[in-house]
Amino acid sequence: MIKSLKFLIAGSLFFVGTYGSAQEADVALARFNEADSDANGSLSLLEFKSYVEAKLPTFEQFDLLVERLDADQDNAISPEEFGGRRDAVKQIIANATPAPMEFVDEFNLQFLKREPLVGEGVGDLVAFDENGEEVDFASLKGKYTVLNFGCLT
Amino acid sequence: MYRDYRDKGVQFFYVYKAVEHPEINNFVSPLDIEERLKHIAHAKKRFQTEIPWICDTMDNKVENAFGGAPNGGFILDPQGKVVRKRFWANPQALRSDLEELIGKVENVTKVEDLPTAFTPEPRKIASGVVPRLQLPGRMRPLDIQHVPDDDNPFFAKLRVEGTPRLFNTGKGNLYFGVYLDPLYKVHWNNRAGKVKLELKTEGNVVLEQQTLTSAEVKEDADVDPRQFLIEATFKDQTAPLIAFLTYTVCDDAETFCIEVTQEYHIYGRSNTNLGTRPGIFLNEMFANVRDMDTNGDGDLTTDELPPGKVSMYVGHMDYNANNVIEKSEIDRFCKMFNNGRGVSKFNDGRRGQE
Repeated sequence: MIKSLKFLIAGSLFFVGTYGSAQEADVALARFNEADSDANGSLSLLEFKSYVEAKLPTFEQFDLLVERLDADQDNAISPEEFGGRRDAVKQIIANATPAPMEFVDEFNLQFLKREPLVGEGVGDLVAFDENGEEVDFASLKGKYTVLNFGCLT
Repeated sequence: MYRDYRDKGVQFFYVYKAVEHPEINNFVSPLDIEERLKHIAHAKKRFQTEIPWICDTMDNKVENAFGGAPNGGFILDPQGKVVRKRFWANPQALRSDLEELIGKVENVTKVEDLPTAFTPEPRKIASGVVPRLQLPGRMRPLDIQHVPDDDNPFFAKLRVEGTPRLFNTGKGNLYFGVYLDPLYKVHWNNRAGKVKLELKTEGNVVLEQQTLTSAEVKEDADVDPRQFLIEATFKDQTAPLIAFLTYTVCDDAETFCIEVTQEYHIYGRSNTNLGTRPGIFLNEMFANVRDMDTNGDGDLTTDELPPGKVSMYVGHMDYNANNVIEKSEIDRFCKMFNNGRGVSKFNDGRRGQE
């Protein structure tokens, strides 16, 4: 959950930082030039990866991003392809829905907050054994005790 | 696990709590400790279990003290403090906990080492002959108290449920279900009379009808529940609606037939210790279980189960705990779950009952 949150925040900063202004195209070109360390007018995958890692440290789907951007499949990102990174990242983030939490795990998580908490006792309790004789829960002390609740249905 | 750890300083107990989903295998909620103890005796025989039982009090003190989970699992340390807790007990997780707390066991007991579950002879009385009412969704049981009858057991038991609107506003649908208790092995005598429910109120409840009578049944005898649904308005949740239930039953051995009238007090508040009818929750969850077998091999693997609910299905149906729900396990589950309840999508042609 925390990871997803960081991911979303980083993603949002990425968008805002990159395209928040009216001069979107100019900014994109400036970013491209910033990333193009050898100034050859094209980003090698290494250059592009360094750029993405610097701007979006929690982004883990670099290969998918390249797959989306590198339309001509030349293993390099042109300025035109670079311009589409915003939408590509946005789409990848939107699709990266976290695996749903198991139904039972969700209940267990809530149940941990309910009394008795781990480390607590349950106080005085008297019930019955299977013959109808009284059972004092205090008499269970002295051993580890496994209690399994249920009924016939 | 009991066999594996009982000699290693661990004691095990099943805790019998209030019936969670009445109607599964035809069981209905016991009204007193004696009936709860009969359920325990039945379960011990049915499952051939050696694990001792603790029976909760009728006011459900133990269940409530442990957080009210329907199938909770706990480990207490020797000082009586909770060291592990789960909303749904899970055998694999329990073993893992015990390995951590106590240590691993060399020769783990296998399912095939355990005695075979006992299967009772099916009864020969008709069931599934009385159409079920289509009930509104999300109904919850009302608080209901019986007036003890010194002469007769409660062969049939009344269950009363309300719609969320009833609990929120006082006005809504009120469901009355009259269920035969399989503990007494009796059936309705349809030649002797219908089931009648007379409702009395001192102005605290406004009812659409005050006398409810079951419909004609063609068969001489059957074991199906009798159901009624009316509109009601509770003006005061603390004053009871009084119900007199009159019915005629005969025992399966045909040694007696008897007409009884028994009294209940019904309050317009929810009883959270009583679970929902399986039709409300489990029915929805398991209705299409056979359709989930996308590759058609008869088994259900975890990738065929709905995301987020894998452990729920595995927990309910994977009897041999191998993480695959085999066809035999689906059959076993459907048979158990459909037992006499008439849920069509589960119906694999076996509507027997215990």
